[in-house]
Amino acid sequence: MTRPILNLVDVTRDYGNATVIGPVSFSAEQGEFISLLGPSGCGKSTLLRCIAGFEPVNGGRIELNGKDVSREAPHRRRVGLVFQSFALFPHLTVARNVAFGLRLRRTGKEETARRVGETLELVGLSHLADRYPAQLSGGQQQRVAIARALVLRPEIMLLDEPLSSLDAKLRLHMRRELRAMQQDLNMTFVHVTHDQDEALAMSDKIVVLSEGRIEQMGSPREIYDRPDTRFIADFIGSSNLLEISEIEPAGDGMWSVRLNEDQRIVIAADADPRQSGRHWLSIRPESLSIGGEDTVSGSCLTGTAIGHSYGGDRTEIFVRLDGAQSDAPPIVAHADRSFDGRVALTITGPGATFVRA
Amino acid sequence: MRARTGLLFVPYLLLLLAFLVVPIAGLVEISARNQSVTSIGGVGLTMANYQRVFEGFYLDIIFDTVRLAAIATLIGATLAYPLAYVIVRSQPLARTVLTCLVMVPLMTSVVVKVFGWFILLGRGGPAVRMLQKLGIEVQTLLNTEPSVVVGLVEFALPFMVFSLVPALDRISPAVEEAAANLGATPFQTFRLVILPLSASGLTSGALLCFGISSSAYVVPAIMGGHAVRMIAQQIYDDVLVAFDWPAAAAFSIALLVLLSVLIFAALRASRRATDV
Repeated sequence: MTRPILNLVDVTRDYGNATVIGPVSFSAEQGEFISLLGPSGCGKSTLLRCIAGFEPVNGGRIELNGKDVSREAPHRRRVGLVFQSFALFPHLTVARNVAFGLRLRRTGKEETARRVGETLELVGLSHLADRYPAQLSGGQQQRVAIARALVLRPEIMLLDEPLSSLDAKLRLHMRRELRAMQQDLNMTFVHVTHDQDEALAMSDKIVVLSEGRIEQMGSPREIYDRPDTRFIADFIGSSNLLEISEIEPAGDGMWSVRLNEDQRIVIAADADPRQSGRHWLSIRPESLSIGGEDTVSGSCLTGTAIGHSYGGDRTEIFVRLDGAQSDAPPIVAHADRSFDGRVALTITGPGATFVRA
Repeated sequence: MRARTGLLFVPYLLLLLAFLVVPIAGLVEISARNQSVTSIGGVGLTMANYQRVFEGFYLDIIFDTVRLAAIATLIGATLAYPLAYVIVRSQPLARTVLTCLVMVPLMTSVVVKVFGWFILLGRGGPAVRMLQKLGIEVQTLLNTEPSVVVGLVEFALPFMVFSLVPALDRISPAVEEAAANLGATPFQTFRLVILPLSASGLTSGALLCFGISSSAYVVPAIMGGHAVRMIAQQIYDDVLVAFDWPAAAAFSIALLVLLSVLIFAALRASRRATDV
């Protein structure tokens, strides 16, 4: 296996007595796009600032290309950083913003001009080289911020919620563009976001953080299809979470699950969910197929449709399961029409998994 | 600007007319007269007073004044930047405390402050005794150019700090971090980012410092003794010692013109630097 370009080992960060991060360990391979994903306050931005050197680490180490940089000053680390606020130099033109780092490295005039030109071309801003940041739109400013970091050919690029200040249409466009750029350059990107759609769409690997710790780490598909915990199942996409009262092996990798007196269902799982302490069932709404009472079969959940919400390409049906506690949230299932009265829910997709509390 | 908004300016204009324009007109008039024993305001009509301004004695005073004020401004700016920066980047409570600390000297009379220096640096004072213990033979640290500069800097420093604070406040910490991330040392970040982005505050602070320093009277008179002579001292002496009001008036007008030219030049230069 190749040496990871970025390697975090047991990194911790405290503010006085409060631990805000860690210990956290993960690594990034050359050319990987990694998203640090989590709700606000989970420590993802702090972690990014630790990698850039703006926050000291209290324990563990951060290795860049095999070298421990944990104690190195920010200006000595070769990491590119795109700020959420872009943080362009307002007194310099676009070209001079991009040339800033080259100027500090005493790059020759001709080479500076050539590399600034190339990089501006890459982000499609050649025609705006002589403008000042205040004369640019948000999307253009962001491209300048990216170009300013890219021009130094850093070993990794860090992006702190780079899309959050753009409007919705532009955000979707920049998602594709950033990803394409990263793949073309075969550069390692570490991207912080609280937007799970963004993380799923852009990343090779997602590191989900919660309260300063890694909750789960894996490819977007693994994270979505095989959530480890209730938190992940609920945070990434939406999910129906049901507490299990009894699990029995049904043979052939199938498990018979009892939710309450009235509800029994058969679910597939590779390993014995009882051994890993997975006492909750997560079922994606799109993996529930809904039918009238006449469709009740051996392995289905039964209940009463209590409402629906039309969403254009699908309709969400809210179902109160038989035997469910009165304060439990209703089950959500996707359908192509509305339902009333008694219904049966069958699991059709891969979206039913055992998760830990 | 709408005409009615302009009306708000009228009271100030009247004040300006009554207490600035009219007296200065009087000053101009006196400056063009001959000194006379019969009339304190002088008699006749002459340009001799202005010719004297360009003679060696007065010219030296002007030159020394500009030089000392410039040195005080430069030292003031150097001391004020770190102070203002710390204030701007502090938590709210620390910021309030630090701001008050910088403000306290402003609320103390310049005479009181100067006598403080007098005790501290003067004959038999703690500074002198300490130097004597170290084997350096001095009687007093007063009555020198450096002692005057110390006094001027202390007087002008708060004005510099309070001019820089709002300018530095507008610089986002992220912009500084961006510079560091691109490889700038803290000093390079200051020179390439903070300094140009706070140029407007620096200009106004420098103008205040220079204006205050070059028209200072108490500081050079008490801390400079006979070693230092600045414009305001000379005007004072011409008025109250030599009873030569025309000479004092001509010198005052010369100081006014000099400061106006410098302020105008500095503002133009700074506008060119920041107008992007």
